[in-house]
Amino acid sequence: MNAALLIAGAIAVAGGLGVVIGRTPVHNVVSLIVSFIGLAVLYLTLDAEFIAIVQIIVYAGAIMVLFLFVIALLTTRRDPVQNRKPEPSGQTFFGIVTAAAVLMFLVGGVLGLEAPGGEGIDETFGQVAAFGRELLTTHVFPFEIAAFVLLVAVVGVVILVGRKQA
Amino acid sequence: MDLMLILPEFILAGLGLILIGVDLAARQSKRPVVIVGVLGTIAALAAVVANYGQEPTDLWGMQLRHDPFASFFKIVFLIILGLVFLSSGEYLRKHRVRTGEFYVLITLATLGAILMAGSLDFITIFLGLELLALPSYVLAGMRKNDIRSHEASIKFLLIGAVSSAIMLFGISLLYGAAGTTNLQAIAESIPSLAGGQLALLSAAGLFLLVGLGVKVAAFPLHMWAPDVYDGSPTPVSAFLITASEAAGFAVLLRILFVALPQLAEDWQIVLALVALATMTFGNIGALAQHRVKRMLAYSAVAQAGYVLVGLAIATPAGASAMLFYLFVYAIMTIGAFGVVIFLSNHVPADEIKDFIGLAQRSPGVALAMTILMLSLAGIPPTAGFFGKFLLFRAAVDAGLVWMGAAVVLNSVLSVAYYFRIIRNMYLREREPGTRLAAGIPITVVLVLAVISSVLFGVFPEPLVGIVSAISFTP
Repeated sequence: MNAALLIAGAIAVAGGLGVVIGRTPVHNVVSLIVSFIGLAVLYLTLDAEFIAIVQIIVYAGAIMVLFLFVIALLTTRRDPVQNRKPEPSGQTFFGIVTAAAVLMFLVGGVLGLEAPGGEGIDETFGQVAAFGRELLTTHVFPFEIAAFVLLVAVVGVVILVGRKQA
Repeated sequence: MDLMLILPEFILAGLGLILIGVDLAARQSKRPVVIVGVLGTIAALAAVVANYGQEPTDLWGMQLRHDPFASFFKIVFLIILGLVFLSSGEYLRKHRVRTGEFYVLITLATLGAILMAGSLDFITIFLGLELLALPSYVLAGMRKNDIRSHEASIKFLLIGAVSSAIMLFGISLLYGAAGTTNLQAIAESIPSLAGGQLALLSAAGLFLLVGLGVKVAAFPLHMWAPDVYDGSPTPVSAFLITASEAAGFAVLLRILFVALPQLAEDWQIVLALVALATMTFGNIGALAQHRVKRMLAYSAVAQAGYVLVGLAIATPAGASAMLFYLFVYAIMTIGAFGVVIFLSNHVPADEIKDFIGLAQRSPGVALAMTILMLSLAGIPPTAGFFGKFLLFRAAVDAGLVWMGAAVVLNSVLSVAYYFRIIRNMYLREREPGTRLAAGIPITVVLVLAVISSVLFGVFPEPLVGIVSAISFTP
């Protein structure tokens, strides 16, 4: 179990790095898919089967494939992005030092945690039925708000890509 | 469960959906959209006021909280929405912004702000934040033939998405340490936490402060604000500066007073320095501007600095002063932007020098702008003065005399740029142009803003009574 956790975590981080470092949009998207698959395995090790399946089917499967189509439609040339502005000197260094400090603090905090015994987690945890019941009872209000967030996104997209008003 | 208590949210959500239909039906004139919007806002406002005195209650499985704090912010947001509805009609027509979509998005954005203030659960708070942020990105870019509007939209989207992610990370750390997303439950679990969990808790506090710091444009996270507020359509700038920032402050107050009370002590010096830097930087930035909306944007950063003083003090008196200031500041700002909207409906009004000679062309509007500028600068006997006075007194009472002094010095600094507009309107002449007459909706907005700016300065007691009766801990 622990080995699976470490390997999946490493794959997820490696995928994330690929997204940031890669210069070709297609490579970025493929790296993100790799990262998502790593995440899905992490969810599995946490007994969250439903979330893991959703991660694969919806994110890695549907949304990222859509991304690939968009990139295929938009980028006619295969040139990688190169005309980047040079960063102000010291910015990278300062960013890395700050990120490293925060990371060390967080790692210290996580290592200081006592491993939870797993009590209070029943057998149905992570299954579709339990997930759905929770979503439509305790969290039904945020669930409905999410519907409004999606509505706003649809209206917004229509405005942004729609024709100019005469 | 009392459905009456969430009637305002239902009305606003319904209004957003109805407006889509009304916009479809109203093909020629968009006046029905404006009328339905204003009436719906008034109905929601009436529902909030009717519920104001009810006992504090948890609703919908602890996802919503009804208490005077939430109701106060709901009133602020709904007043802002109503004033923006009234002041924007003609602007949208003249600048070719789609009226129906504009009203739908701004209504649902207000619903998001209301959920942020009205919840004690991070899940609902975060969804409210997104419901406020997503329409804001689109609204900022709704002037499709203006390149500045495009820049505002894309900049706002990128910064907003990153800050949301930072805040979400903070929430997840908090959930990991405390095992719950409910603010009250987090506070209850803190005494039993140990070692690593406490480290995670303070890291979560840092991420939450940074994420929300971007939303309220606190130094050094304010870089996006002048570009976005300058480039957005003017009614959108007014909405973002008032409603969006007030919503951020509402959540910050909830986090500091309900969930992580010890955070306020640990971070007091940081918050105080941030407040000092924010107001000073905003005021100095505003001095250098020649575009009127950019100047008002920097002034908004400075005003956020004043409000942050109340947050740094973290006493109930400081928080009450924040509420008073947020309320009067929202009304003055909408009024000032109302004048900019009025002017830009008739002539180009991007530059401060476009205000030259306004006193001759439209004496009433010039007088209104003068009173609003005096109030924003904090000259007695305006509401802006009394708000700053409350913050000053709270800072001195809390032993932070230097913070109070910083507020006073900064308002002196700000007089310089607010007076530049007054000087342009009255003391500088231009070749006489046609007289400009304000339409009824804009007149209503300006009259309301001026009356409140004077009234809450001369008779502040009723409002002070209301804000000091609000309890910040559940």
